[in-house]
Amino acid sequence: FGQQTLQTRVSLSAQNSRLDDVLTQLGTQAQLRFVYSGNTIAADDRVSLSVQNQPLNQVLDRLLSPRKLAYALVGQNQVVIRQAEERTQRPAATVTGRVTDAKTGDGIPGVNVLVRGTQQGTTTDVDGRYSLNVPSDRSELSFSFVGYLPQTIPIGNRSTINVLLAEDARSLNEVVVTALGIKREEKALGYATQKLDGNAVTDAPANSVVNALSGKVAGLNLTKTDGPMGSSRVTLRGESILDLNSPGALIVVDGEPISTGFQGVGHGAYLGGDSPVDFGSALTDIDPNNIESINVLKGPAASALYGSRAGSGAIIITTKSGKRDQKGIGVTLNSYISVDDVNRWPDYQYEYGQGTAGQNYYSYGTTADGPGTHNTSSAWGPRFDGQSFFQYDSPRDANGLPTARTPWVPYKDNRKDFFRKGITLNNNISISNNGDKGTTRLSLSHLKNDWILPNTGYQRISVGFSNQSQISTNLSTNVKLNYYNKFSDNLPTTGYNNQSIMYFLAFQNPNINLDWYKPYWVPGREGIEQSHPFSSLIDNPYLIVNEMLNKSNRHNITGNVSATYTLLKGLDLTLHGGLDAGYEFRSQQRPMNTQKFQAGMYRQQNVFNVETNTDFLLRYQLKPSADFQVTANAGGNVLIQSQKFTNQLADRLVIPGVYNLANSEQLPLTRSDRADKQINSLYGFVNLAYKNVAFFDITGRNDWSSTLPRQNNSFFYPSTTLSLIVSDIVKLPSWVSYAKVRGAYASVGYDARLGTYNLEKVYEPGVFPGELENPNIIANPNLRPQRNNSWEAGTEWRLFKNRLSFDLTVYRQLTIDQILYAPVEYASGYNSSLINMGRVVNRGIELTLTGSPIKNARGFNWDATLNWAMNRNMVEELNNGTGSVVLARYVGSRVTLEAREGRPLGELYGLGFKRSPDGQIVYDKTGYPLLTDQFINLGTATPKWRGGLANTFRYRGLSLSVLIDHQQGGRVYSLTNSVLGEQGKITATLPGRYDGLIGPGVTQNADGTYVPNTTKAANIVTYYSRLYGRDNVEANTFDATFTKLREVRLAYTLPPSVLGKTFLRGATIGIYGRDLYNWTKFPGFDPETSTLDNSTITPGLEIAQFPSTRTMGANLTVSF
Amino acid sequence: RSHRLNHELMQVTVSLTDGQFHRYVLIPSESDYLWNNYYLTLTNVQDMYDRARATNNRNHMAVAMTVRAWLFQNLTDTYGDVPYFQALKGYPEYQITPKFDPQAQIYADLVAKLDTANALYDITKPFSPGTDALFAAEQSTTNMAKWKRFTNSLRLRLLMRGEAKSPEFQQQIRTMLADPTRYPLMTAVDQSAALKFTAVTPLLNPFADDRDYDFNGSNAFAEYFINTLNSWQDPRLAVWATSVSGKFVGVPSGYSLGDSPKVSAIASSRLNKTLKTSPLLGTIMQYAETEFLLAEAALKGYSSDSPKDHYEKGIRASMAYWGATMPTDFLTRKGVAYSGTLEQLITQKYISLFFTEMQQWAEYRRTGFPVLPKGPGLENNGQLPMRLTYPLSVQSLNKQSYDEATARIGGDNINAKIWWAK
Repeated sequence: FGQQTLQTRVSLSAQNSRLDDVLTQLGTQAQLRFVYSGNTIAADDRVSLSVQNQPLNQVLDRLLSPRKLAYALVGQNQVVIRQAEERTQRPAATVTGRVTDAKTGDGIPGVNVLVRGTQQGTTTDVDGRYSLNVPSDRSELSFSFVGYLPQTIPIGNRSTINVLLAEDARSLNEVVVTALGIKREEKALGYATQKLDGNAVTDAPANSVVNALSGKVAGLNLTKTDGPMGSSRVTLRGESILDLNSPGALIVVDGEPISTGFQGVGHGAYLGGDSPVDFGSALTDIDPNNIESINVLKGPAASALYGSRAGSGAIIITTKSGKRDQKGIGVTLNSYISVDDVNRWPDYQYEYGQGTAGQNYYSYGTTADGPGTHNTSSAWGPRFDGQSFFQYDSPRDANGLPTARTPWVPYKDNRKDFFRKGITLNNNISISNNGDKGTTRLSLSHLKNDWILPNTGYQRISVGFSNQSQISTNLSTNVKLNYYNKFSDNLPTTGYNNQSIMYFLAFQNPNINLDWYKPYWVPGREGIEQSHPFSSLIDNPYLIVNEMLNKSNRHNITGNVSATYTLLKGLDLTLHGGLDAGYEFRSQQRPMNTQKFQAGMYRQQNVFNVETNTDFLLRYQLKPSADFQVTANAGGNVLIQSQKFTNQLADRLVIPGVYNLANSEQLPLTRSDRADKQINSLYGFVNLAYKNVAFFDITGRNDWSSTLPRQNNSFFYPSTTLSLIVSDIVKLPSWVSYAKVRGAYASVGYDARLGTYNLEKVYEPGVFPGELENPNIIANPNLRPQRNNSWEAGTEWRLFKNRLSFDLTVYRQLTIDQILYAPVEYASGYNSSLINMGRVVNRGIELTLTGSPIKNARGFNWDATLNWAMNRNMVEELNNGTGSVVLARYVGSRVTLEAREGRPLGELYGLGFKRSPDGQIVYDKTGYPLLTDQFINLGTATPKWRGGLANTFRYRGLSLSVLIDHQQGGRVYSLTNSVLGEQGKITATLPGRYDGLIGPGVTQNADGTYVPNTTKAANIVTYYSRLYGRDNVEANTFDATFTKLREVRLAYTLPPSVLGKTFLRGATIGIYGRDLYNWTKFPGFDPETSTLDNSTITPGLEIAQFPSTRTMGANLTVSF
Repeated sequence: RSHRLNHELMQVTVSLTDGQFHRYVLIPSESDYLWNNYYLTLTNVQDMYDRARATNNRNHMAVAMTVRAWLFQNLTDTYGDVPYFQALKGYPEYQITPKFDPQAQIYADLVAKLDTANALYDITKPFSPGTDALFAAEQSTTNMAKWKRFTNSLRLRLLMRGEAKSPEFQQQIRTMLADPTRYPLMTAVDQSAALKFTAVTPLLNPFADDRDYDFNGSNAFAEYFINTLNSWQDPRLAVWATSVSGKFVGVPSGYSLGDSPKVSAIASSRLNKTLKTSPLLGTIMQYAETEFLLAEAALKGYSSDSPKDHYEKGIRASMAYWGATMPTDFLTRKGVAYSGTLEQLITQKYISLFFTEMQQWAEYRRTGFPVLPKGPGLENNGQLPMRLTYPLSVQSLNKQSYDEATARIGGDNINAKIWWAK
């Protein structure tokens, strides 16, 4: 190794060949790479050479010395070529240049550029550019950056020095932002992390930052709601929590955890008094333009220091800061426009029209043909055979009686046409500046979304501010502030209920022209009586989008201020204060004569959330010997959370169309909630490093939480991790560039969540003035903290000169004593009980495989990343007396999501087909399928595994990225399928319409034996009701496997040669697509779905989901 | 539930959109509402009793016991055996898997509790502290005495329901009727236990905000109910039903699946929309029911009273309750004039139980009256359901007790007869 490489014998014969081609050939033979900047070797520099089996260094000497070029081996296999040093005195001057990655040619931001022998230096800007004053007595610049080999370059008399930095193959190392914002080298970590650049969320933006992470992180699982706001629940390493209301992974922005939940409007998704609306949260409001990087700390070991909330892992988002740039002010503009449209539909049938079974005619109202058949929501009526009937559009006489029949035809776009193309337009400008003592960055964004439903959408204004100042040699300060204002004049109502568009669509019949609904008031009765020409059960969809409005205006501010003071050499004190505060004003209005609010309705809600974190951290670094490095930390934190929610309800209005509380028919009702919580913590941790090859960390933390009873409110939890760089300890084959093994154990304690006031019985206000009611929850004065104990082991390898690398993690997490509102039998007098319960185990594997199948000197590169993760969970024990916990019940308790002992967490239960011992469906004597008497297990809602394959092809400035996202397994109950099925609206209900059909299966004889079913089911409506009706949960539960073409992006970055002639410093234009195609057998819109119920996101259930969308967009980034 | 389930089963109204109940099809989820809400409400009632006992407030204790008996009776009448002795002990005992108790034992205890309540009342004092939404008993001792009358009338209802099954109950009925001073019953319409709805929340009629469609658009009066009243030219019809060209028209119940358009096409009488805001729909127990109970008791020889007298008082009381003017010859009209049969008595009682929880259904299950016509579309072998099945959630949350109970009652199905219906 080492200098031996330069002794490698080479053979070559070249005639008038380009020097760079010759070097490439030599490099191939010697298995090394030459690194030099573009102007070092001229493109037209040609050589003739013939050598046989000569040492490489001799050949190089022959080639390079005449050209006044020097070379040096750097690391194992890189040879840097540069101009030979010229020892001439030169005047003080400003040197500028650009530092680029030797492999990709991209500028490297943040490179330390130092005048050798001084403290004078700078860092490169976002494009890798720097500018530095060099005193006359100094002659060399040093360039260094983590993960790259440092270089020292003589200045000579040049004023421009462009530098290529080569990756340090032996210890290619990323800096990872870990808990408490501490930056660590990736190799020192004993637990799994995954880092993404900001462009992971900006290249093909999704409706929420976390939704853009889909398929990019092994082990990241998103439970997404549909709709413009895109609230989602993020879990890492599978679900271990029985409480669906728990927030999942902790999301931290610049060291400040942000609120991911939102205050619901208190309504269920299935036929509630009103319906849920996704108003979004601080999480959905994050501006992706501001994001510098995202670090996913997957296990609790990574995040033990964030305390209770980080037991399910943490996603650490770092926003951008100003870059040191001696040129002064830098400006970047970034814009995108995207268009959404619906990418998938249920398989609607357009062969038969409205009507109940066996009706061979249609009549709008009672006519000469017979009684009216227009009221039914079912489509079991006559076939579209070119006949004519008295219909809604029949001409009418003065008495309103129809005078002629009109053609009986389907309107095949009468669902699709209700939607429009959604358009999102985003503009961002950021300005950064570098002063003498710090950097500042200011970013301003505006986003406007018109969602696919007419008259819905939102706007977002965001401001990001960052300042870093070196106030004195001992004191530095850091301020980051992000402000968001998101407002909407109408957000769509979700769920299966009046007021939701998807409810209407389930009832829309094939023979009804959507246009007939367009005049949504009865003429002359505007504002008082709506027009619903068919079933009066459903609200007119145009009334819904134009008059039933859900408005929101939310202000969020997330920020923190920190100051670090160096007390002694090696001893730093950091004080930090952080704030995440949000205020939202919402209003909901419903006009008169709407199905749920006959007298109209107006409600307004004030939502105020605040969390503050105040902490200190004392950090001491020492080096007791040359081989050891020790960092010891001690810190403390005070966390205060507060939530205030006021809902004022005027559910009957006096004057139509006037929406304010004063218009209430009776005194408006006010409901308010207020929750407060405080956790005080002390913690300490020690990092030990030995010879930079072995790293050992130990942490300990104690929390005191206000949500637990006094005797149990203090709890301690430790973690320990180990990382060994195997490739630096033992000699490995040369094709192994890097190998690391790691292991971690962590225990995390949790308190009860904010708003837990059930440690003792507390009466609640009742409906009568002055009335108190008993709570429906059984209080628990002996609640204990919950625990999550986990270990993980992992290994990371880089092979074949980094052409292939992988990172594999296995883990086991045990969650015990979960704090849960467990449903209890009502006869106890209560409906739930706050308890510690359960032992849930999650075991899993995470794999990230990265490769560069093609890496071409001509600049064509293909990089591929595969993320794959599987998780198996098991409810080992519940010890709640029943052996099961109902996590959620839906559709009038017909479907439950449960945790049962000895089973995976989150399985669906409901009635299903009665089956013979060999598994065949049993029919009754009249030919209709029979249902079970008891709930049966219908499979787990969580997938077997998930994986994402990202490919990037680059050719010079052009790049093409393709991300494919796959989920294997998981079951989803579809109410949409049930409703469409029982109403005869999907093609699956076409067979047997006139002559009945014989269901495949068996019937049971009186003696208990089974014989094949031969009875024809005469009434096809009864047949399909048994098959798809809401009671048959099994038949409406489907495999949620899907493969999605998640992201495709084609981008072009203007090369420096073009840019050099302009005032621009960089320009990139891209076109992209998101969710372009979805391969799945799921019958609804999208198997990747969940149900929003009040403020809970429930997986495994599709309750009238919104259509899934395909997004196509273009973005442009310009900096100058 | 009265409107949704009882009226459909008992041919007061019929769903026009096929529906299910009038065809004797009950879906499992139908069982949840009553069970869940009654038990949660009972927690408050139990709490009222416990707190009253702590302060030795005898009137509060008696009222709580009465309301408790009323709710538990509805529960057990609907499902049969239900958790009773171990129920409502979620806090602080943490009894979350209560055993189901045989209905006979529940009835015996309820009857005993009502006896105790009767003895507890101190009607020389008004209800205090607090306000009483039912009788405004905080305002006068006269109103307080109405509670006592309600307690005893309710007790009589329970005793009569179990009368055929329990010699003990028979004895209690005799004792009770023999001592009206000790056991005062309702004697006037204004003593009826009915929550008077106002136009203001929380005492808003629960139907006030219903969609018209749900209240009277998707259902019509049944032929049986309308024709029965038509045959008497009953003035209550005008209070309850809309007329079609001056006539009251019902639709057939139990029609065949798919005949909904035919049935919908009949110009039929619907529930009067004014009922949506009527103060009278909050009936717990009317004075009229007491009279019908007394008539039946007299008919069966438990008292020496005239059954005819009580029967006629019952009809008068019902008319008065609904504000209908009774024609002077009404009591002598064909079909109305007292004939001395239980069938006639229960049929009149059935009419008077309009919008009274699920009492019509209960009386039918006990007596088999009135004899309802059977439509062609009936399922369940044409058998009117005898109970609701237990909520499905009970199967997962209280499985062992559920299994015990279902084994005892012969399977958790709608045809299992409950104790007093056997």
